[in-house]
Amino acid sequence: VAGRGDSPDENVVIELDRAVRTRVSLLAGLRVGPIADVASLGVSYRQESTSRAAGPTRTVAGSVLVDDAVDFLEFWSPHELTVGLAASPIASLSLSLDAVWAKWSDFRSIHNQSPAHPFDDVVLWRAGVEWALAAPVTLRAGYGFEPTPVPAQRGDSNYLDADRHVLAAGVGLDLAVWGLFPAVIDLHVRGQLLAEQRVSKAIGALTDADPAMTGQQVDNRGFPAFEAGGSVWQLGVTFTLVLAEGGS
Amino acid sequence: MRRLARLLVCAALVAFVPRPVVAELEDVIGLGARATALGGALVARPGDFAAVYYNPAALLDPRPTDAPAADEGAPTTAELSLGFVFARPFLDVDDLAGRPLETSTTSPDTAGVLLGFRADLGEAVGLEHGDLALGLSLFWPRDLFRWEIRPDEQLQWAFWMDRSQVIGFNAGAAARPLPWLTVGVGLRVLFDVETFTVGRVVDVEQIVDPATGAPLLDVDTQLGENVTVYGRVAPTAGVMVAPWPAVRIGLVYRAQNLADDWGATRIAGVPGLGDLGYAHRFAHYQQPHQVALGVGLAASPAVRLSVDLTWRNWSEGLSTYRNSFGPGRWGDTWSPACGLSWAVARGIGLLGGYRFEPSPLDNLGGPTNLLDNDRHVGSLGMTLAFAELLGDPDLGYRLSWAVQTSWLVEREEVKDWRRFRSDEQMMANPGYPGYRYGGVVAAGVVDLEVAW
Repeated sequence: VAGRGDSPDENVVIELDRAVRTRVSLLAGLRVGPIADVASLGVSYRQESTSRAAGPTRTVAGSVLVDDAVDFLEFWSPHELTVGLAASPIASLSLSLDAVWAKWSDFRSIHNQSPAHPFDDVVLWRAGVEWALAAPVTLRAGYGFEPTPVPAQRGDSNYLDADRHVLAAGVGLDLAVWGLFPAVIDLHVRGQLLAEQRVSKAIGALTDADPAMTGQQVDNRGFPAFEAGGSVWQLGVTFTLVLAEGGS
Repeated sequence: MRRLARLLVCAALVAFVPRPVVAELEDVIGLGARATALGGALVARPGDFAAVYYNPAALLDPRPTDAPAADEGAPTTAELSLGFVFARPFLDVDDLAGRPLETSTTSPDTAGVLLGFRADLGEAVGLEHGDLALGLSLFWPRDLFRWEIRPDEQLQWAFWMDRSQVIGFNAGAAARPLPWLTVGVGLRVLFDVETFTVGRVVDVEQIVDPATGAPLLDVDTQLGENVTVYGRVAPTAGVMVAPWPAVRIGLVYRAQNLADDWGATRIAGVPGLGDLGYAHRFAHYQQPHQVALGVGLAASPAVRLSVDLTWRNWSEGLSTYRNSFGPGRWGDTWSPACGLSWAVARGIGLLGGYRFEPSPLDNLGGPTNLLDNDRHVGSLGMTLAFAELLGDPDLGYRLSWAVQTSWLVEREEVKDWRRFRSDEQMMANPGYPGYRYGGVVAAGVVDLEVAW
């Protein structure tokens, strides 16, 4: 607090206002079935959503004034429309296939700007199989292909992303079968394997870093080329307590 | 013994599921219409999900009865409640001549949705109904959280600012190891916020301060922010005994908790200064250690009375600016509360409550200008149990409402020259030479519970 002493550290006044508000986006869906006793069809829509941090910051030190604003977007996700088909040809086996259209062309960057080269809308494919092997074990597996919405990064931007193959497996254990709690434990593992992203910059598509100098000056971190890739692995466990008969 | 071991295992399983919790709405207004109407005197009063905060052991009744109180409802397997909360403060600060003064912070309305859930897990895990229960609550305010931070010298309400405007989760579990005893545990979790702001100077312009006419360097920067929100956990534990069928005695401990808010700001490359920056650390929504003792009494089949006494360890309290003033400036408090429920007709219950909340702030007259008053809190409410009201046991709905008024006892502060480094500092204080303050906070809660 200012005025408590003579040193600069004892003369700092900080005032900070912060409010985190709720942002709502729509989720809607419908399911039709059973179709021919074995199949069902579903459609869902997820509205675009994001988290936004915005507001002024003002720092005064003697005769120096820093008075700027921040406007950041986090966790942006696009409009998504999904059509899914599920079938259970035999009682212990179910199969599902989803196609997800994602409107990445509306993408806003973390600085709340549209990219110079808009992202592409993409269609994601996901398939899953669940097999009730024998009580109390249920096995699950899935595969998805998620094409990247990021176009070739030949200009100033350096967004890192690539097509993804998603592999998943899981197992469910019904503890009630063993006379324990009426609960189910589900374990899963999922891997997202990114194809390698290879980028070669087109010098003509890059902004001249210093027009005052002769020739094109380049300070782009991605110049002249870069490669990106990798994988992401997830492990999870879910504990479900069954309060009423008929659930699992 | 085997039954006791199984109960403890179940309670531990439920207790260690991660659950975030906050306890601001609960103390300022009330966790649901019933708790609000009963003045928050729920330490020895079983009945609904609100026990997750007031006493987790009260998620169960040590001696379940077929003739529950008007506000409790018949024993069920699970209840889900949806409620709405609104509160509006009417606060006044005047100088010693009676002219109104402005505070440096606002005192906004509180508005939000409250979800509550309680489930009896006894039969589900092979025990008897009433042996094991789980409770959850979620308060979702209009702003998930908000705060306005000012130095303690600036005129501001210490507690009527943002304490009830924060997302809050409560959860707990209770077990009944003996026919006359229930025990409960819970977790209360707040959050910490870490913020690092960095800036890089991209342009500088010389301007004139429009207010003072002094030359200023207006520095344009590119700003970036790293923000991380962490969970912060505090435990709650309680017991309740039923020494006689008509009497309940409860004891609960709620551990201290607060939202720690720290970080740094650094602007690089400022002309003439090089790097410019500062660190900050604040404390929000502080909840002190609390111990509460309660007694519940069934005075007649239609009338239930509960009385609580809560000790709050405010002497270790921190201001928002994270100053610890200690005993003599901030003191521990004892807060009594009582609640009464009366079954006026089949399915209709009237509720009333009162509590006194002494202010922890004392020894006024110094440089700080944190405003807080002793408070008398009165409340009224009603429950309508449709199954009993309409004679249809399938209508497992209960509608409750409550209104509450907090009267802030007017207080006066006159600056004491002995508490300042100099006359100049005293006269520059925003509260000099003194002020009076008080007001009223009105609140209303309505909720609908469905049971099955």
